Amino acid sequence: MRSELRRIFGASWTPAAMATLAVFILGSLTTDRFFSTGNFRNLVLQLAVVAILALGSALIILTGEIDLSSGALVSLLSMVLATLIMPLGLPLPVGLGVVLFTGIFCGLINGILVTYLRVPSFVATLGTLGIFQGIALLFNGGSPISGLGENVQTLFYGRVLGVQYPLFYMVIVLVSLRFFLIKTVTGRSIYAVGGNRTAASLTGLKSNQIRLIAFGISGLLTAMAAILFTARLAAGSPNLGNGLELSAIAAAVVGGISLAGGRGDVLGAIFGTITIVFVQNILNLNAVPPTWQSITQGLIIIAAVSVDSWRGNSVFTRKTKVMPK
Amino acid sequence: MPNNEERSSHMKVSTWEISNVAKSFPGVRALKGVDMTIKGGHIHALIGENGCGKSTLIKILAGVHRSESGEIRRDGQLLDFLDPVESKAAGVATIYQEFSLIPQLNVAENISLGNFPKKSRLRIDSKEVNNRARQVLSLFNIDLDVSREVGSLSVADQQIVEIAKAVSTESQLLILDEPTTALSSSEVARLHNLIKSLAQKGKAILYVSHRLEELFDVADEVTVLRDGAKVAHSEGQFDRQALVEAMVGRSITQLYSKESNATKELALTVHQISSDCGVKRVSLDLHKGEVLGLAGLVGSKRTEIARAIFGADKITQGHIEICGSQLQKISPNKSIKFGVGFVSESRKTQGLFFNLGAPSNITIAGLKKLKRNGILNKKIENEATDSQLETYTVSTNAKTTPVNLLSGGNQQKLVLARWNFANSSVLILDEPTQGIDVGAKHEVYKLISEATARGVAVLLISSELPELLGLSDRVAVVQEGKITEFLDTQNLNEIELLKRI
Repeated sequence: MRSELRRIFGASWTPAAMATLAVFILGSLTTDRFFSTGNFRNLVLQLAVVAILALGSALIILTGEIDLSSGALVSLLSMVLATLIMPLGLPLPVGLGVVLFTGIFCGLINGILVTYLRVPSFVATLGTLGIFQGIALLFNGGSPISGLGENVQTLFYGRVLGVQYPLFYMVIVLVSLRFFLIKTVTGRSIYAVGGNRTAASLTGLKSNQIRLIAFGISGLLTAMAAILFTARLAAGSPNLGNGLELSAIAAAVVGGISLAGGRGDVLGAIFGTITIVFVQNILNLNAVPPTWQSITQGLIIIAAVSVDSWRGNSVFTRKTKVMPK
Repeated sequence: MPNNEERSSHMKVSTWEISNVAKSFPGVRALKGVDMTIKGGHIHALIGENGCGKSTLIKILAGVHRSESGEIRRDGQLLDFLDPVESKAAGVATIYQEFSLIPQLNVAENISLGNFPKKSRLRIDSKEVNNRARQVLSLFNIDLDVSREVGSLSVADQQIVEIAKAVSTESQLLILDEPTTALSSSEVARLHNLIKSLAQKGKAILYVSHRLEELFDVADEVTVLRDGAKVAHSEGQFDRQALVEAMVGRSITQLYSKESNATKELALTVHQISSDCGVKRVSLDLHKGEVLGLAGLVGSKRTEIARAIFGADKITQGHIEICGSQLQKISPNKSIKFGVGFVSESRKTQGLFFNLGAPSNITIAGLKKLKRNGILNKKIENEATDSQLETYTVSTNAKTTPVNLLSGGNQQKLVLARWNFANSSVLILDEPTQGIDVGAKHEVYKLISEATARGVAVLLISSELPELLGLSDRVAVVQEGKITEFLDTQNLNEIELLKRI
């Protein structure tokens, strides 16, 4: 029993789960509209898309890297999808296939820059952020493409077994990603490479190949998020993903995925997303101006990273201090 | 000017008293109440095997660790260092094996670093920087271009710079941690002269070493530590035999189980390999059940040879033959597939995964063995871990303890167990007993001999010559990335080997 308790309270996602709980309480105390069905339905739809993006970011962070380009990639893929369907008039499944494929391809480009070309991921993905964003603006003269039709919207607004599609996709992604990380050789290797890359290559793990796989998968998840976002609006927009990469990274870090790499459970990224999306919602409901929302999100990111760095000294992992003061 | 300085340092002769200093780390009592007096003008040697507590003691003096009990006094005045800065301010300078020099700066800048002479508040007086460096170096008759970049100097010269830096800050207690491991015998002689002249100027010197031969040449006093306790102290006359026995705690012959399991059957052949890290046309044969030692000074590129054979560095020439296959492009991944295992010299940075538990650390090189229907099977992993921990006499508590909290010995056993789990038939062991206690060392020796009995071939690197001689069937002498000769260890002693490396 005690060890079971310790397992739960020692899990990397516990602080994020507690934060989620705290946000719930905060929400219900400050405004009575928070607990309305309409608000919740809306929140869940918003949440699921950010969560899929956050899972991709969490995977990259686990390998010890970072991806700043995911928001820009969402914008680019949104424009790609809209262009394929509207001006080109291709059937929806073809459009979806191309977008998913392009997502993986763009993820792999990030991966190749980071691994074989040895560009630190922070710089490489900052570069591709600019490139993806720029290409997104090349479509349709930089204007949004709207009116994609009901056909597209059902991708987002449909239900399966009574569950809204976005939520359904999120659960599928979460379960398969967790399975991949915990149950497969490659998944285990991702933790090893993220924890100690030198030791990983000296134990025969191909760290470049492994990081490349992670970038590819993350690209795929970004494409899924882009499709859902585009479907929701029935429009492609070159600014759709602005700033989303920060929410995704923040959600992962708030969820206990260590920025140092190799530590954390992707389940935490879901709690992290809930926390961040709900905080935003509560601020909205309380009519806090957007400027302050942005400031709040900045503070949450900083606080989460600081907690991540200090966690070495906390009861959760109980690391020893090398130099006692 | 030098005369003034000489006189002023002559007047300051301090005595340092250490009493009842104790320190524990999770799982180990590193120091169990040690007393010691270090007198100004004396060279006090602190000796003991790796893991005896001497590093802990000097780290306490240097302010890196805090003692749990006991006190340190300088001339009767109580000192309580909270950090290395305070220790330095109290006049203690520690010269570690890893130097604290900045390789991109020149000699003079390194000597003045942290204490630059200034023209005005913001401007460094570079002329004075050079003068000061020349002055200090002339104090001990060393001819060294002060404008040279430190990174381009030999290890021996870097060490001189490090000592000069300590002297220039008017430190009264100089701690030298294993200063000779990277030095040739003529460089050792030069270093010893330098230390003696510093002692004559009234400095107190704590000379830490595990090489007995050296201290007869240089020390005025000797303290021997074993398992965290002071076991012997003598002044003036040294009885070699008694010191050895105090240090080791048993007679040398018992220490290394010398059973040769060497066969004539080849396990691995290295043909003329060179690497981009300085290995030059190295060839060797490794037989099943054999232990081949690589003997050489620190910096002779023993590790680089091991890394080249394993494929961890880029090979520019040559190939390796293993199990009848010729490997041209070697990589760790490929070597491991052919049954080679590599235990690197630094288990913390290159061996262990602190983010994973003990089971994952053991199975990481053989994850394929855990696959059932394509997925990792936790039950098999658990059973495998239990059996490895049992073989390697690690308590089963280690299974749930975070790996960074395990003792050095247990950590090392995890790394060894990893290759055992991966069924390695050739083991490359780089300093496998570094920083582990005597008990754990014995178990490592035992495990090595059990492995060779099963036919595993071992390539061993160790800076401890008795260990290297005791475990190896043959040794290869390494100098500057080349193997100069192979020696049979049957009739080889430490002194003879030292002459050849």
